Amino acid sequence: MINNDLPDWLKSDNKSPCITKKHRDIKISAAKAFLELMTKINNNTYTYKTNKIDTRIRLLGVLAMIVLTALSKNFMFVVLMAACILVRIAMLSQENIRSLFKTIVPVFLFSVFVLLPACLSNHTQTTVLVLSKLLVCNSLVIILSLTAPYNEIISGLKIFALPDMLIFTLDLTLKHIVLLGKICSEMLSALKVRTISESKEIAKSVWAIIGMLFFKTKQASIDTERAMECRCFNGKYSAKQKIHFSVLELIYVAFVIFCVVAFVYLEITQ
Amino acid sequence: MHIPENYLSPATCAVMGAAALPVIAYSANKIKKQIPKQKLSLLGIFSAFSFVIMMFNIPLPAGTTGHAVGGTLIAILLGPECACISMSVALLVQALLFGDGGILAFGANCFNLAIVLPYVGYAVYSIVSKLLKSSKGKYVGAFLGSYVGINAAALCTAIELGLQPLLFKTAEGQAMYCPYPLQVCIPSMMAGHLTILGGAEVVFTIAMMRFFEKSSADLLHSESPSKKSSIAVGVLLGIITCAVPVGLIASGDAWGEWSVSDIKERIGYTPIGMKDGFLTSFKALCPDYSIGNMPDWIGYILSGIIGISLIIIIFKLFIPNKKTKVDYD
Repeated sequence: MINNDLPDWLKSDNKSPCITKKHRDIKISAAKAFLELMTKINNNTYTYKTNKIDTRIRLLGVLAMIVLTALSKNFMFVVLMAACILVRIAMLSQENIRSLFKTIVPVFLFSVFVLLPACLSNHTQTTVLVLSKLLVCNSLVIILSLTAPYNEIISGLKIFALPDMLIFTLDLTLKHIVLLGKICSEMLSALKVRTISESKEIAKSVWAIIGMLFFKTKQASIDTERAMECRCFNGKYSAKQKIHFSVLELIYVAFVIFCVVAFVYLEITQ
Repeated sequence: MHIPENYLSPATCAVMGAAALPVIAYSANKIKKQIPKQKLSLLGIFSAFSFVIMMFNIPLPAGTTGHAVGGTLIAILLGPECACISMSVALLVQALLFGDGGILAFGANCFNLAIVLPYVGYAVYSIVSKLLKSSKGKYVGAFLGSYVGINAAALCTAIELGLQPLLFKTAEGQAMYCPYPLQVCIPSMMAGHLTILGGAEVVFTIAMMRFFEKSSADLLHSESPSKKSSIAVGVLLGIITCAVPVGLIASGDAWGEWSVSDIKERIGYTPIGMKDGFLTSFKALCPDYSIGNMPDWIGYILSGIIGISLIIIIFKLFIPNKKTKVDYD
């Protein structure tokens, strides 16, 4: 005789406690943060295809423009730089413009808050000058980071005669962010997929991921050391190849020279 | 044709703003739902074209100046809804950054230049191009549409300004806002627009239509336009921007866009609404498209560059990123 009664365990109420908003938020925000980071890095690798000007030249150009903007006492020069930056921003993709504003707006608002006393004590002109300089300099750096591959930026630091150890540290940091970020987002996705009932213990799982990440970090560092040994890497970066000046690079250099000339002219005629 | 600050009473500004808002909301909603992706990306470019063409001041015989607007062109190429939004953004940048048009009068300026001009122009264009079905019918439609559109906008502006002394007066009988009545405003405004400025609008519209048809037709119709077309449009925008100092040749203000001191010189007193009105202390960052002590022509070019870039950035920031629909069948 077939027993059509449901088994007892299926009849019983689901006693799994409801997930609290706090615990759910931990999981979602962590997964989202890692996914955003990975997307940023993935998008950055795409800049290999779009980046046409040598990153080393751009790095030097950006540094020169930041120094000129910071040194300038003439508001006209800052406006000129702002106009040039606006043109560059207008040429960026929609996603890049959005990420630029996401970064720059909080910085700008914080600076306005800090400079509020100066503004209230009748130093409006100084406040506007400082804020404009801040916007120009930040935009220059963010545009560079959005449109140039990270590893080329790091290797480009060699032309500033920075110690190899610093370049090495930056290089390894970036590589490990990618490596561990991938592992972490995979573990968070696995946790999300395998979570059938909801549990209050979700925070513990996050801690378990962090612990697992620690072990992976240790393993990755051992692997890196072995790889360095195998390749006879002694921590010194070889000299870079020569810069080949194409038309675009020449235009970029001409623009930087124009900025220098404009700076000198405006400072003299002030 | 930009109505400056305090030429209209706050009540008029509120009424005009209330009239403009539903149309702008309708246009934005329609753009969001119906306009294809490739046309959305052109909104900023056309808005920039309109902005820069408004910097070319044309001298008029009475010592005043005026300019073409380009609203009908956008309406013909992208649709009146796109023209409405493009023009509104251009007007916003002009008002906030360059002090061209009042902030309170933004609703009124939108009503005249971003609603009446493109919608009327497009209606005339549609009727004429349907009646004349030959290839030339499109150009005849554009000719008549742009001419009627700019004149309709000028007429609305004249009526709004001309109603002020009738509605708002002090106890002594002095005008509180714009001092000129309808019988002065309408002929003064329409004389320039029916002759030279209407002609300028027609020339600009036809020339740009021809350019887009010959050089960049795929920008309007293809989902993946060629790089050549984009470069052609960019180069044209660059050339027009570099040529904006030509607009400085025309000295003097447009009719109805005088400063408070000029108004005092003309009528012998300062209307109280202009002296103590709202936002009288507001100073635009680059007033009259000038930048600090820079020579006028450099300031004018830089203002053009800043304005165009800002408009394109605004459109790129706020336009929804429509995903290309995939047909799985």
